Amino acid sequence: MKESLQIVQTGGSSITKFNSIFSHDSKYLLCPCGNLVKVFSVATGECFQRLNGHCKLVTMICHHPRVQLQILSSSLDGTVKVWDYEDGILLSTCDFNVPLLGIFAHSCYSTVAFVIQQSDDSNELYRFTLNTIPSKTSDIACSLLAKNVVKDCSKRIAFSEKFAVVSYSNRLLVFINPQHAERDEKIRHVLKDNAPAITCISCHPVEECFATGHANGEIRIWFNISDVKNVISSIQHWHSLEVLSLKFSSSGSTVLSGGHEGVLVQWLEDSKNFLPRLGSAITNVAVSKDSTLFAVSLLDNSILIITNYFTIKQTFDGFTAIGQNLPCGICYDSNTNACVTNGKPGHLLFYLPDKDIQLYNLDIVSRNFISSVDLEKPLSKTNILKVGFGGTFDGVKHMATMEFDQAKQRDEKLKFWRFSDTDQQWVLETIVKSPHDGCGITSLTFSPANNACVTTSQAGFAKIWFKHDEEGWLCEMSLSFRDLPCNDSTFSEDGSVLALAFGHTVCFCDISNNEEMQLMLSHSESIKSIFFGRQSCQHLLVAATSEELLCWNVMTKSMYWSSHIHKINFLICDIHSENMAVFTNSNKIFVFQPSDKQPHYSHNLSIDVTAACFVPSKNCHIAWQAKSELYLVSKEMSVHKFCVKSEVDDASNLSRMIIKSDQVTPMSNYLSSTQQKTAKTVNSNRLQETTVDVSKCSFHSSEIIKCGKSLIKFV
Amino acid sequence: MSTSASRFKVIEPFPVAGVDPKQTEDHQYWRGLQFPITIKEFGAVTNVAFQPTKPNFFAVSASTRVILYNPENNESVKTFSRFHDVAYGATFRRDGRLLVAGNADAKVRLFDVDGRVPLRIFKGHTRPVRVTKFCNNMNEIFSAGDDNSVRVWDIPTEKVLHKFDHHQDYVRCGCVSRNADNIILTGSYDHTVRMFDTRSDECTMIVNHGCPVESVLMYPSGSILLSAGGNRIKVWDVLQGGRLLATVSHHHKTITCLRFNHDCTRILSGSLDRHVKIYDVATYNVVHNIDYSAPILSMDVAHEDRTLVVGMADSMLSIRHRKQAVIKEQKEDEVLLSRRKRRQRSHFMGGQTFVPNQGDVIIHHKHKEQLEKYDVYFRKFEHGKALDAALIPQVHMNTPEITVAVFEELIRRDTIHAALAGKGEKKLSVLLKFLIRNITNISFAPVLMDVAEMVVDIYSQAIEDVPVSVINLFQRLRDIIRREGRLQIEMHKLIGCMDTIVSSNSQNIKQSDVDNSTINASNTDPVSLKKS
Repeated sequence: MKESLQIVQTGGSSITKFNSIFSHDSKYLLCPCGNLVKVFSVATGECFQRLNGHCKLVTMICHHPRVQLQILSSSLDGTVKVWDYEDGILLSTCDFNVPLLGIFAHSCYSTVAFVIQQSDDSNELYRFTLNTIPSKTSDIACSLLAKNVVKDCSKRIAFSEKFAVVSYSNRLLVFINPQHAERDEKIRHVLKDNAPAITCISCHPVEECFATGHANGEIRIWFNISDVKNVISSIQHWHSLEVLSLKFSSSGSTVLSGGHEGVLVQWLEDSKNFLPRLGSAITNVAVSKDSTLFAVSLLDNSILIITNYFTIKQTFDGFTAIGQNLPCGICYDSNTNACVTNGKPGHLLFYLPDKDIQLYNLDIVSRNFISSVDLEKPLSKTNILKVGFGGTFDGVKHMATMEFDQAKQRDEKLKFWRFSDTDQQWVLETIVKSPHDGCGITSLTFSPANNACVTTSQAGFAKIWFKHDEEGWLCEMSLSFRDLPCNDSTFSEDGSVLALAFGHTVCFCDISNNEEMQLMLSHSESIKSIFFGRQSCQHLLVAATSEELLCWNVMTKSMYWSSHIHKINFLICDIHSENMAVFTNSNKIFVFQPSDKQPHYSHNLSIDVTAACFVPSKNCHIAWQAKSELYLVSKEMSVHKFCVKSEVDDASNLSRMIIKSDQVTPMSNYLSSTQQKTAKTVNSNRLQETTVDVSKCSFHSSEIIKCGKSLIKFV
Repeated sequence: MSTSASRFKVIEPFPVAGVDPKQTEDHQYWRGLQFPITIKEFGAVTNVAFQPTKPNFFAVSASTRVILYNPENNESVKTFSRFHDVAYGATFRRDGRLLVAGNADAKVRLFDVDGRVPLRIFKGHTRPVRVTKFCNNMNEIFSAGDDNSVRVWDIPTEKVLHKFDHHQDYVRCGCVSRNADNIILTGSYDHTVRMFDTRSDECTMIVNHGCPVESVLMYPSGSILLSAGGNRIKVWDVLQGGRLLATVSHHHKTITCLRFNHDCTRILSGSLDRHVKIYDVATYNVVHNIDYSAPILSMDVAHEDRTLVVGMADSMLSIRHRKQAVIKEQKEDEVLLSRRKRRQRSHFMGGQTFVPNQGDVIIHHKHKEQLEKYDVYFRKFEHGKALDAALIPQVHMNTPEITVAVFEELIRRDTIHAALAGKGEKKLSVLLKFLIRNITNISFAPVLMDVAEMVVDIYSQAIEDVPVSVINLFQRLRDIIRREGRLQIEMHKLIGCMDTIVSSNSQNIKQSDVDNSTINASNTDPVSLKKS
C-alpha cells in the first residue's frame, strides 16, 4: 500500500525580491518570502513569526492605514490579506481574482488602499475601499487610476500625505489627493527626450516634493509638482550605475540611495555619507518610522539592519539568491547537521533544512564585491564548484572546497579547511593553486577511512591528496587511464576501495596500499556518476550514464541489473541508509535501493530540481525516509520535501511559532536554543521519575532528577 | 559576523607551487649565526683552533705566523711570529695554557699562551710539519708532516718517545682519542687512516679511504672514526676493526676539514667548493648549508657553537657569531608576528603595560586597520596607482607573489588594460624587468604570460615612441620566453622518453589490464607551463 505523497515547500526563497518594511515600533522587520511573510526580530535576528496563508508568491506588504499592528499583503493568488503580525493571525481576505503585483496604503488615506492588478497586456493601478468586515464577495468597488504600470511597480509608485506619483520610464503621473481623485485628475510631467530613464521613486513624507533615481545614476529632486509648467528639478549625481533604490527618511531630512555599487549613500543637505562594501547590489532600502534604523536588501538575498550612525546592527541571511545554479550541489555536513550549498557569491551556506535556518555563510573565496563598469558585461566571479567533507580523524574534521572562475578560465584553487574546536570555526589549512590546470574538476570525494581526498578532472587525472602534519595536504598520487576524462569518484563505505569513472569504464584502486589500478567494468556509454551502495548494499556499485542506470556487483565483477531511464539529470546517494535517488531532466524522481531494480518510490515533480540531499532525521512518517529525509532545491531556490498528504498542513505550517517570547536580551538567542533542549529533558526526567518510583533503585538517577529540576528552575 | 560585511578584504599573496623549504630546528639554529666578519690574513689560512678554556681565544695559522684572536671583539690579541717559514696546525692544550705549532722548517714549536718566545722547540722531522696536537696526558705532543713520519714527543725533555714510519706519503691530519691516552689517528695522502698505539708502538688498524685523506675525526667514545678526503666522508667502526659504516658525499670538491659541534650531535665539513655542510650524526643527512666566498681550508667551532671561524684559501678569515640567546627568543617572537602586526605593535606599545584601577571605565581604542599601499589604492579603485605600489622595489623584489596577486586582482576587476597602459619609461622598464625575472617561475607563469601579452599588445601600437632601453628589455623578454619554450620542448622529449621506459618496464613485469596508468609521485607536473 503506497501512501500518496506530495511535495511541500519548507523554506528557501528570496527575502529581498520584494520590499520589506519595519513595524511601527521598529522592533520587527517584515519581509515577503515566497508564499510567506516572515517577521524578523531586529534585536535577535531570529525569524519570529511566519504569516502563512497565500498560496502563491507574496508580492508586497504595507501597513494597515488605521490599525498599527496590522499589515496588508498582496499576492499573485489574487488576494489581499490582512494580518496581525505579532500574533500571526490572518484577519481577513479580499479576493480580486486577478494576480496582484502590489499594494499601497498610507495613514493619511484611512479608508482606501491601492492595488496593482496584473492583466494580460498591462498592469493597472486600482483604488479600493478597505472594509473592516471581511468581504466575501469578489466584487470589490475598484476604481482605475493608472494603466500600463511598469512591472517592478513597488519602486515606481510612491504615496505621500497629499499626492501619489506613478513613474514610467520617462514620464511621471501625479495624483493630488489620491483617495478620491479620478483617473483624469492627474498632472503629467514628461522628461526630456535625452533624459535617462527613471528606475525608482520616493516621496517626501510631508513636503510636496519627491525624488527619482535614474538609469545613469542621477538622482533628481522634484519640487513644485502641482504646476505642470514650472516644475523644478535639481540633479545630484554620485552613483556611476543605475540607482536601484531610493528612500526619504521618515522626517524627510535625508535621502538614502543604493545601487549596483553596493554602497549605501545618505544624502544630507550639503554632504553625503557612505557605507561601502555591503557585499552586493542594493535592491531595496526601508526606513523605520523613527529614522533610527535602515533595512538594506541586497541582491545576494540578505538584509542588513543599519543604524543611523552607519554601523551594521543585524543581518538576516536568506537562502541562496535566485539565479545561481548551485554548482556544488547540496551536501550534508554531519558536524553541524546542516546542509551545505553555495550561498552568497564566493561563500558556502550552512543551512538547517528542517528548521529553515541559515546558520552562517562561510567566506571561501575571500574577494571584495566589485560591481562591473558595464552592466551588460558582468564581471566574472570565482565560484565554488565542489565541496566535500571528510570524516573525523584525530578529533579533526576536514572540508575541501574547489573554486574556479569559469568565465575567465582561471583562478582555480583547491582549499583544505579544518574545523577548529577552540574557535568553533573553519580554518584554512592548505591552498593548492590550479590542481588540475583549469581542466574542469568533476568530483571531490573524501575517503571515509583516512585523511585522504580525491579530486578528478575532465583532463583525465584523478589526484589523491593526503594530509601531512607539517606540509598540509599534498598530492601523492595522480592516476589516469587512456587519457579518458575522469567523471566521478566514490569510496566504498569502509574506504578500502576507490572507484573512478574514466569515460565509459570504472577502475578500482586501493589508495592505502599504493597498488596499481584494476580495470573492472566497462560500458558502451560514458558514465556520468557512480556511487557505492551503503550498508547491506556495500558490494554494489551504481553508475549513471545519461540514459541508463547500471548496477554492478563488485565481488563477482558482473552486472547486477540495468534500467533505462530517459535523460538522467543527477544521482544522489544517502550515506545513512541504502537509498539512492535519481532525477531526470523531465523532473521525475526514482528512489531505489541498489539491491532492487524496482524503485520503491517514483514521482513526477512539479518543480525544477537543481539539487537534492538526504538529511538524517528520525521523525519522518514516510516508510522509505525512516532514516533520512530527502530535501529538494528548486530552480527558484526554494527548499521542498516530501510529505504525506494528511500532514501537508502541518508541514507547511512548519514550526509556526519558533519563539513565543520576544525577549530582546542578548541572551535570548542562547535561551531560545536551550529552552528546547530543557523541554526535552523534562520529558525524559518525568519518565525516569516513574521508573524510580516503581523500582526504588538507583540512587544516582534520583540525583540526576534533582539536578534536572534545579536546572529547570534556573531556566 | 555582522560588521564583516564592510571589511575590506586585502590581497592575499599568490600561492606558490611547491612546499617552502622546510623550517627545521637546524635551520633556525644555524641561521642564528650572524653576518660574517672577515679579516684579511697574510696567507692562506691553513688551520684555526679554539682555546678550550676561557677566554676562548682562537689561534689562526696563516703564512709565517700564528695569531690569537679574541672572539669578543674580533681583534688580534697576540701574534706568534717566531717562525722561520710557514706555520701550520697551531692547537691548544686541553687546559688552554700551551699552544703548539708546526712549521715548514721541520721544527715543532711550543708556546705559552701568555708568552711570546717558544718554550720548547722539537727538532727531528725532516720535512715540513703539518700536524701538531697535544696528547691526552698533557705532557706529550704528537706531530706529523711531509716526511711521512708520526712522532710523539715528551714536552719536558724535548725527546722523541715514539716514532711511526708506517705511512707512505705526506701525513696531513691526525687526532687523538679523547677517552684513551695512547691512541693516535693519522690520515695521509697514501689514502690510509692509521691508528697507532703508543703502548705497543704498532699500527693497530688501517683503513683505506680511497683517496688522499685531508681530515680525520674520532667520536669521544672512540668507537667510530670519520675520514674525509676527495669529495666524500667515510664513517668507520673502530670496534669492528675498521668496517665501513657509511659514505657521505655532498660536496663536489675536496673536503678539507671536519669538525664536531660542541656536543657532537652534528658534524661540520668544509670543502674547496666553498660550502660548509652540517650533518646530523644519526642519519648523516645534510641539515644545513653555509656558503662562503672562497675555497675553505680550515674551520673550528667555539664552545656552545657560539662562533664559527672559517679560514679560506684566499687568505680571508671569516668569523660568524651566534646571536645572544635572549635576542634569539625575541627574534622568534617577531617572526611569528606578521609585518603588519609588528608595525601596529610598535605604534601602540605605549599603553600595553598600563594596569587600570578597579572601577575605571575601560574604553578600548579602536585600532584602525592598517592596509598596505596597494590595498589602499584598490579600496579607492585607483588601479593604476595600485599597480605602481606593487611595483616598488620593496614589494616586487622581496615578495613577488604579492605583485602577481595584484596583477591577478586587476585581471579579476577587468582593469588590467587601463592599469598597464600609459606607463612612462621608468615604470615600464620596472614592469618589464619584473616580467623578465619572474616569467619563468612556474607558479607565476600563467598570470605573467597574460600580463606580458597585454603589455606587448598595448605598447606595440606605439612602438616608435618607446625609448631604446625599453625596446632592449622587450627583446630580452622575447629571448627569455624563447629559451623557456625551447626548454619546455626538451622537457617534453625527456618525459616522452621516460614514459616509454616506464611503460615498457611495467609491461615486462606484469601484463596488467591497465595499459597506460602512470603513477606519479610528484605533486606537480614539472611541465605544466603554458607556452605562448
